[in-house]
Amino acid sequence: MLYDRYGRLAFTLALRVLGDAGAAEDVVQEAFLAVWRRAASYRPERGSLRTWVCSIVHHRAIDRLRGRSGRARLDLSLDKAPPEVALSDTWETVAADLEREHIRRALAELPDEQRRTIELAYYAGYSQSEISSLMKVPLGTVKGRTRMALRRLRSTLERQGVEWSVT
Amino acid sequence: MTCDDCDLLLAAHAVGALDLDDERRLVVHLQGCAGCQASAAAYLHTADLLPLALEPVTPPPALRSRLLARVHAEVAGEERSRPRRAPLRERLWRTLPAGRGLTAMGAVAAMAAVVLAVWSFAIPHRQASPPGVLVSRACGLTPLPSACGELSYTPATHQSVLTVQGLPPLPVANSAPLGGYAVWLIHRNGSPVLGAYLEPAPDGRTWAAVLEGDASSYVAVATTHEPRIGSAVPTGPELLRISRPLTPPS
Ligand SMILES: [Zn+2]
Repeated sequence: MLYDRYGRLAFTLALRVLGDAGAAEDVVQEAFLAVWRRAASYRPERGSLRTWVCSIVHHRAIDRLRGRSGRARLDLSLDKAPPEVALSDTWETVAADLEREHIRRALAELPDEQRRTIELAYYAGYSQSEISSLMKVPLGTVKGRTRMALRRLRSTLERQGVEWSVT
Repeated sequence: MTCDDCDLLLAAHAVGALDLDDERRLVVHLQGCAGCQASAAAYLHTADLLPLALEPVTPPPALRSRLLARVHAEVAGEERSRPRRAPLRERLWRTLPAGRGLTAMGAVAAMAAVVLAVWSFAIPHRQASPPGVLVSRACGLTPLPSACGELSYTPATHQSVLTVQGLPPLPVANSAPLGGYAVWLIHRNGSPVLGAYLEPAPDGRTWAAVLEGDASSYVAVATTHEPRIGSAVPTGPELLRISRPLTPPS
């Protein structure tokens, strides 16, 4: 079942965002139930199962962190993803360690303030306005750093030859 | 909002950091802008790599059992709360061939297999009252003679259920199952189209998949092991082939 393939990754992500094993377990369980209920909306040609599962786990972990639950979220992760940028599932099963090193190195290459912005947002679940207060910079700066960070991350990974397409 | 404003919000959205009022503005712009929709996908696919940078932490084994219990309870609950409409489990169950000496345990396993199959496949929403179920069976080809399967098709719902027994567990790479058992719909000209992936029952012996769509569009289904989920063409040897059912079960 899906859990056997992605449970560890899902738990790792939820634990990192929430910092509490019990809360992470709750979120993973709810996320996999949501995956099951929403199975009809999964389109393999639009992205890997890994991507889908992780985005649901991430959304739910952040919702829990911010004390909101059951709110309908903007879910772009699947429907808007064209097949040419979808990542294959081969990655997580065959080359997990290699990827980890690639992605860590690409993160490390980011300017400090960009990496910190991404980490506060994605791994720690802070919103843009919260990051603005935390880092004592204007909201516009936070937005700009987030965008630059993602763009650089992508171009670094592409340069390192990380596979971006299914075929 | 301009496309550049939108682009900034898309990056924030991809890392889950969008503030609520920004989210509303973003939705409005995206609905009418194909260019920004494409950017949204690019940012998301970059952000989706971030969990892979983390040092993996194995969840407690009890989480898996709790999750399975919830899935089963939920399916049972659906049955109780909507007695007038045949629930998913029952609808699927009716599409399975009945009365072939399945033991109680076997029946539970087969049902669980179907329930789990829903993890990957479309949940049927149609009102289902199948007047007849068509069934065909076959056993494995040379590489795997132990595998035997049944393909049942309910014309009224355009839904097929494939159950297979005798498949070995998936090979393991980096302590995760490698790839999956793909189900291919074989068209009249012999070309295969990916239909679904088989999902295992908890006992590991029964595998099942739900196939949506009119079965007259294909002549047979075939199963292969695919090391790479998502492959558009079969790469592994054919393990089992079952012709499309044409006659009611005896
Ligand atoms: Zn736009």
